[in-house]
Amino acid sequence: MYKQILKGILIVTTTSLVFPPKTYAYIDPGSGSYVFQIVLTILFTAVITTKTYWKKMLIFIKTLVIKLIKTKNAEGK
Amino acid sequence: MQKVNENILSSSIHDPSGFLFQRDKTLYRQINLSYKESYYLFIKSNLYHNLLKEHLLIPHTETSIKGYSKQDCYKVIQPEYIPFISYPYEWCFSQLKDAALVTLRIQKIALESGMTLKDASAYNIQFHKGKPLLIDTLSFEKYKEGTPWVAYRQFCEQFLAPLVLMSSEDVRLNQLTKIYLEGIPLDLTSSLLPLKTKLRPSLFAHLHLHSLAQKHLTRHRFLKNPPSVSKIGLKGLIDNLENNIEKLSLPSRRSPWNDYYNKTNYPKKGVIAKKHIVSRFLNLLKPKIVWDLGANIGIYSKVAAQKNILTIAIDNDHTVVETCYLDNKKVGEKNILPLVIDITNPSASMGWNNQEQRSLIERGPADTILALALLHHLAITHNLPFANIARFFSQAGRSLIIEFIQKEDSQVQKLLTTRDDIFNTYTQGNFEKEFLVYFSIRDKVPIPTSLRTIYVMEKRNK
Repeated sequence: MYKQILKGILIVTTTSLVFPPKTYAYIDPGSGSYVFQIVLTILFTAVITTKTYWKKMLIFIKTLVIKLIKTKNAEGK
Repeated sequence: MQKVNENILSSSIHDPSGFLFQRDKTLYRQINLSYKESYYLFIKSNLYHNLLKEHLLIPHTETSIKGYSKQDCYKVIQPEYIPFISYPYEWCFSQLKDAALVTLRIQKIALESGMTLKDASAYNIQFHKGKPLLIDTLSFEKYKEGTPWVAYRQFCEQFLAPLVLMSSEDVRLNQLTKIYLEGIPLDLTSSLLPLKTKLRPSLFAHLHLHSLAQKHLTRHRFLKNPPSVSKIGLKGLIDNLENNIEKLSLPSRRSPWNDYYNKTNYPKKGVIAKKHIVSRFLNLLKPKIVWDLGANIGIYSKVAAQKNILTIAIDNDHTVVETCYLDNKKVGEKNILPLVIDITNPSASMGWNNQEQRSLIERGPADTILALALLHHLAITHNLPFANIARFFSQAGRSLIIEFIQKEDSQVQKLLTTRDDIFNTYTQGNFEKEFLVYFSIRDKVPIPTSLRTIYVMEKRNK
């Protein structure tokens, strides 16, 4: 999945650097938009999923640390 | 048997799901059989009610009348009447921004109900009772899990592109939407935008990269075998567009017209007197719709609006229209619709067969035209003869409240500072003579401590 996203971004960025800014070929901008949106949406999915898991992981670590501290404190008493 | 007078509205001819038609002066929308399932889901999923709850969609009632084309007809609905239709090229920046945000909000609610917007045309949004809302009830289709938003490109071209151009380059670039009715092409947008927009990742993606993708990704294998797109990603895309549009603002731009009322050449007492005269004349005419031409920030539009009269506040200066819109939005004013229109070159009929977007005159006549401190600009700045101005007003409105300012007035003298006074016919006598061809004068009242007179006129029946 990530390889696909990176490949999509790479295609768009490379073409933006290599190709001239104006082309007059017979093209359908709708098709390009469609592909671009797929790439962009996959990217958003990846970012949102990572963020969600990151948050979950932070909460998990936080809870774990609090638990450990509480246990330590209890043992100390 | 009385002949039924009916016709299809050209603005709705593109939609295979249905169309608008007028029958005996009432507007209806026919829903075609091909849209039956979508309409059923639209009602059953509560999307219709959820959108109504947030005032995001025009309400309608289902009727039992016969459709325009009986074979294709599934249902006929009667949408709530919108007294004045305006177009995106007549909106100020904040109006277009609010319309864009409403479109995104609708798409979010639709996704929650298992549906999606199949188009994101700015022409589907209208300002009604002070707020933007969707007028195309047939814009929704079932959301198929894994598919992208089919209207993404249209949204970028019709909303994001003009908004970013106005915000980052020049507010007048909104006029490009007059040429490109389907939306400003992204390659053109990208070439016009300054470098700084490439440094903002989201704008870089939605506009610049998107434009390149339109050219170079037209034969990608994703078109034949598109990968599944998650709803989370889709919502992320909508959120991202929403956040970026919310952040857009206009750079502060000075306009000589914004301070106009602080720099009048007659005392505040005169302004109060003028408001009283306008109010009295409006009571005399009892209009339902007023067009305030050269409305500036709309201080006289407010006089009409307070009488529950729908007032279209028209000015060609974007800055004052923006101020007028934001002021009215702040106080929740429902009766004023500010629009950016140059009345020396009013919006023309456009679109397919010159019939999709109607000209300003075709959207009239207004019950009353307010033309305060306007005549001298038309006659002197634009060299328009009184006869032509009178004819224009007689086409635009059924009655007229107009201010005549004598040539000796300092504001008129300012207009003559850098030019020869070739305006020998600019006299009160000539003004009355030419306007009497089209109107009858019901009353005229001089504004105290000024060289100004306000007239109330009614169109002659010819």
